[in-house]
Amino acid sequence: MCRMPAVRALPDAVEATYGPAASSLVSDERKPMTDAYAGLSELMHRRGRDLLAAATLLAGGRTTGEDLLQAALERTMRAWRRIDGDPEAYLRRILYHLAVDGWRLRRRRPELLIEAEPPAQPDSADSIALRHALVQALVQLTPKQRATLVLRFWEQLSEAETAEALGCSPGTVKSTTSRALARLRRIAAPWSSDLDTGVRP
Amino acid sequence: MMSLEDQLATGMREATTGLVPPPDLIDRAARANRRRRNRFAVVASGLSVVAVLAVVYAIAATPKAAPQQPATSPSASPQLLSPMDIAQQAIAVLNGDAVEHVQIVGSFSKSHDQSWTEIWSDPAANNTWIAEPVPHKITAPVGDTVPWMPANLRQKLGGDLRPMGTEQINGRPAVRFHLPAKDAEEDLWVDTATYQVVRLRIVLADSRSSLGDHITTMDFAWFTRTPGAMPSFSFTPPPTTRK
Repeated sequence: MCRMPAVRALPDAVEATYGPAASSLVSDERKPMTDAYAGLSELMHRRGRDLLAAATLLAGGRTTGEDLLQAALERTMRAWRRIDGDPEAYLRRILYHLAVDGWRLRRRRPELLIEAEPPAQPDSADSIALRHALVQALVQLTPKQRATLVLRFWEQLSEAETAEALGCSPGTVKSTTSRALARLRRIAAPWSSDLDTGVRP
Repeated sequence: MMSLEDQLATGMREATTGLVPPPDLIDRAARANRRRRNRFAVVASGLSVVAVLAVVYAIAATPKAAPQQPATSPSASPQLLSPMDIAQQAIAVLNGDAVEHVQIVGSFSKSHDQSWTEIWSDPAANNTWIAEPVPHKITAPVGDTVPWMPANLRQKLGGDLRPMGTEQINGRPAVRFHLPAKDAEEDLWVDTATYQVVRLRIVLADSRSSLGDHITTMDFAWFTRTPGAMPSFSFTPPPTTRK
C-alpha cells in the first residue's frame, strides 16, 4: 500500500472541485523547502549583501549580524504565505524591529568593543581612524539609536521614512538621531580637527 | 573636511564592504523554523497524550459511553482560558487519533449553486472514505491515506490568529478566529468546551467571476477512537460513499 500518492491527491481533488480557495488547505509541511521559500532565496541572491550589511551594523558585528538576519528570515518564513506586497520591505521591517526590540542583544553584548585610540597629532590617516572609531562606537548606543542612525545614514532614508520603518513619529526620529549623534560627537572629540562642525539640515 | 554624519556614513560603507551572506543562510533559517515548529508539536503531542489518557480512563469507568463523545475532555473551565489558550488546546486535541468527519460545502456569493463532499478519515486504520457529490464530479482516490486536515488545522492554529468573539455553531459556543491570509479570508471556530475545531470557512474574493466570491465551508465532527469506545463504535459510511 502506498501512502504518498493518496496524501498528495486528496487535497488536489478537493481543490479541483472547490477551486483555488481550497489550495490553502494543503499544509506547508508537505512542501519541499526549496519550493516553499523559492522567492526568499531569489531575494537573498539579489539583495543579500545589503541585508547582511544592515544586519551587521545593527548587531555590531559580522557573526551577530548573520544571526540577526537569520532570525529575520525565520520570522519572514513563518509569514511567507501571507506577505502581501514587497517581501524585501517586509524582511527589512522585521530586521529593524528585531534589532530595536532587543532580540538577543539584551542578553549578549555586541562582539566589537575595541576602543580606537585617538591621534596624538592629526595626520592623513586620522580620517580613517575616525570613521573606524565611529562605527565601533555604534555598539555603545541603544538599539533604537543605532537602528535610527543606520536607517538615516546608511540606508539614506529621510526622517519620515525612518519613522515609518521603525513605527514611531518623525519627532522621535529627530530627537533620537540628535542624541545619538551627540554621543558619537563626544566619542569623536579627539578627532575634532577632522570634523566639520556644521550640522546637517 | 567632512561632517560627523558624512564620516559616519562613509565609515558604515567601509565597514560593510565585501560582506557576503553565507550560502546556507536560508537553509539555516528554514531549519530553525522547522525546529521551532517541531518543538511546538512535541509540546502539543504531550498535552494530547495526557488528554487522550484522561478520556480512556473516563470511558473505562463508563463502558456505555455514547460513541459520539468528544475526543477529549476539557482540562479546565473554558471560562478561565483566553482565546489563545483555547487555540493551543485545540492543537493538542488535533494530535489525537480521533476519526474525522468533514462536510465540505462549496458556494458562491452571487449564485445559489452549491457543491458538497463528505470525507471520513480514520488515522488509526489508515482509511479514508469520500462521499461522492451529486452529480458525480469528484474522482478522489480513496483508501490508504493519512489525515491531512489535522496537520493543516494545527498549522493554522499555530500561526497568526485574531480572536473574534464567541458564536454558536450547531447550538454550541465556539470561539471564532480570523486568520490573516494573503489570498483569502479564513475563519476558524473552536468549541469552547471540547476544544475541537468545528468549522473552517474560506472566502476567496473573485471580482471577475459572475458567480462572485467562492466560499468553502467545512464542518467538522470528531469521533473518539479509544479501546473503551471501539466496541460500540459503528463506522458506516452512507450509501453514496465508496471505499
